[in-house]
Amino acid sequence: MILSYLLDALMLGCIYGLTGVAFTLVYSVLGMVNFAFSAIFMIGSYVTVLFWVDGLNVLGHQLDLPDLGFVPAVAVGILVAGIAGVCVDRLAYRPLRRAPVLTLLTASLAAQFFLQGLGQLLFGANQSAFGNPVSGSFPIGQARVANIDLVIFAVSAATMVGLHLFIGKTPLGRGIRATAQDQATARLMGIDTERVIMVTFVVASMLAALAGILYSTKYQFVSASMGQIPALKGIVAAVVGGVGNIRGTFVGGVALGLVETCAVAYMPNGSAYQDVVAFLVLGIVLWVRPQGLLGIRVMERA
Amino acid sequence: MSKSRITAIALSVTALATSALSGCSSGSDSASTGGGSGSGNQIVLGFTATLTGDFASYGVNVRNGAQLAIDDINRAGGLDGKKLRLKIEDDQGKPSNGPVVAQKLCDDGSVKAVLGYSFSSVALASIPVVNQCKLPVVASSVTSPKLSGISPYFFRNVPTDAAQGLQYGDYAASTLGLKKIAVLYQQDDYGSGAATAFIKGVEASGGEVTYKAAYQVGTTAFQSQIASAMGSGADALYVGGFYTEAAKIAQQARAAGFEGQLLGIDGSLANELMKLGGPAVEGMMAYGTFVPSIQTATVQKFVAAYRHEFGDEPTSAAALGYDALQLVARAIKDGGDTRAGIEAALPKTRLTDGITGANSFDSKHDRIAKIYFVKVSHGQFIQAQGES
Repeated sequence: MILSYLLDALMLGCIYGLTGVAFTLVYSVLGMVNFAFSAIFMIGSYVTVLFWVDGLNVLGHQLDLPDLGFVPAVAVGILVAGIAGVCVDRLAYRPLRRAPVLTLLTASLAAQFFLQGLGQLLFGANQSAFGNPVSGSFPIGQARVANIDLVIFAVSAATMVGLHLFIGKTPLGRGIRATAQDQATARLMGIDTERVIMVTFVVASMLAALAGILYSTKYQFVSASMGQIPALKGIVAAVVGGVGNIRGTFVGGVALGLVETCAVAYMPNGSAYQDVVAFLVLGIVLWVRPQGLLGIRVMERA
Repeated sequence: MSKSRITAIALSVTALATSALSGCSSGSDSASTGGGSGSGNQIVLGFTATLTGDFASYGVNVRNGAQLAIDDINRAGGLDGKKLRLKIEDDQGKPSNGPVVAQKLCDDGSVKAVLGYSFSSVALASIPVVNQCKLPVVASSVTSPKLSGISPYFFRNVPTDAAQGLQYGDYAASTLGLKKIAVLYQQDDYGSGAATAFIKGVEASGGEVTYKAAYQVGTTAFQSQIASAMGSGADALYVGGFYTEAAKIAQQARAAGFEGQLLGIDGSLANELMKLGGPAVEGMMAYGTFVPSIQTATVQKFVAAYRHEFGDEPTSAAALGYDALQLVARAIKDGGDTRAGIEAALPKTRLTDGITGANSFDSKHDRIAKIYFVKVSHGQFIQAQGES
């Protein structure tokens, strides 16, 4: 039983972690929480369904797009989400670059509700089936390990390693780090910060979409509002781990998954209050360690 | 959580705006009678429910069902040569409208009885007015326990969640022989009411609840609850909630290797359960007061007539609306077409061949009902064996 709980915690933690990293990336370069990720989270899943499973109605009519197979459909989904993320930045945030952060925050809430409303308009307010591309499980002792959980671990780990290399070793990654440290100085040093911001939005939106697709694959549904709770948990993960710190955020996500699962498993009637427990942890961390678990210095942001 | 609430508020504001624009139309067709009572060759029945806004579907379905019953009766010559007619009001789901609408129907002397009611809160608010003018009510969509025995004039033909849960618990433990049951339920009045009654039924029939946990509507991850449920040695898993969560629990339970019986409730009795749950919900059970696929002549005739008239599948609300009108018609036959006559006849009125089975009332004017037990077979709900 402990093994089942642990697997569940890690799997949830990976999804929260990936979503949190999307928030943390944009926060590092723009200093804002981009609530639109809560909607970007579902875009990848819906596009995947459009190019993969039949039977999704668009505006009440069946739309027959070619069946590309699961993995290519996922690739298209992630790509479309990346483009959507850049569009949000261009249309909603770029005109407000010099505006106060509160204005940006409001714009991002507006973007979230706009995209979510658009999703409801196109696909309806109900949940739709996602299909089950990674079925099956195998026993370890008394527990059963679902194959999809292993896929989520592997994909998350590979993505985090890839992201680490991208930020640490490539010129674009260096640009992101420089912009995160000090946007004005980075611009003076000849870095095209607008381009850096664009790349950041592409990468972060793709991460949010990947998290959404993993979530849909695990729980076999899509809906316009599916990103709301996972995105909030992603923000908690980022704050708990240290906003602006990529590794910290991912660790924060896994920690959050563990805490929630413990609440369900060991607290009397804890499953009714797992969200409460998550936000309680946020409160305690903010009180004891305002910079987050791994947030060390303000300078080391990306 | 707070954001979904904001969405809900935004939606309801839109809904209110829409209903304000369209709400006037529903009352207009009743204007012809005016204040005149005792209109010679017709009997007027009042109808009030929530007919506009986000939660309009229940009220509209009840109204459609009642209208279908009126058409049937009038086609067969009416009651003692008098034709039936509905006077329709829209309470918009607002408790504050309850007394207003009730007063309006009270003041119209031609209205002999009232049907409908979508929301328990609206029904509760109108009880004092109904008492004052001694107007009998047969409601079809309100299940709050607060309405049990509240007024000599208030009846309902929808069984309470508690009555249904009790029967289901007994059925699971006695008929299906499930003695160790894990219970998951939705954390609200509906889910916890159904689960509490179910547990009572199970324990009264010698079964045991090995694990019990509540969840919030909108939860997607149930792996840990399922692990605990399986660890408790349960041979059945009960899900007291809507089909969205029931489908996910079924999928995750099957993926975790759970092979026992899955038990859903009436909130899972929707074709969306199979759409979302796929093969995982095969064999899952549920219950309801009305199941369109049940092959009895009365039910199939009703389903065909409803489809023909409204171009849609009838729901249990529609079936209850039909039966409620038939109950009132029978009470009029027995007691005469006056408010006092109907009120005196209703407690003893019994409808044996209703669309939702036999309809009659207990001492608290709640429905005495046998519920249907169904089971998913090849992606369809079929009636389960051993119906109580």
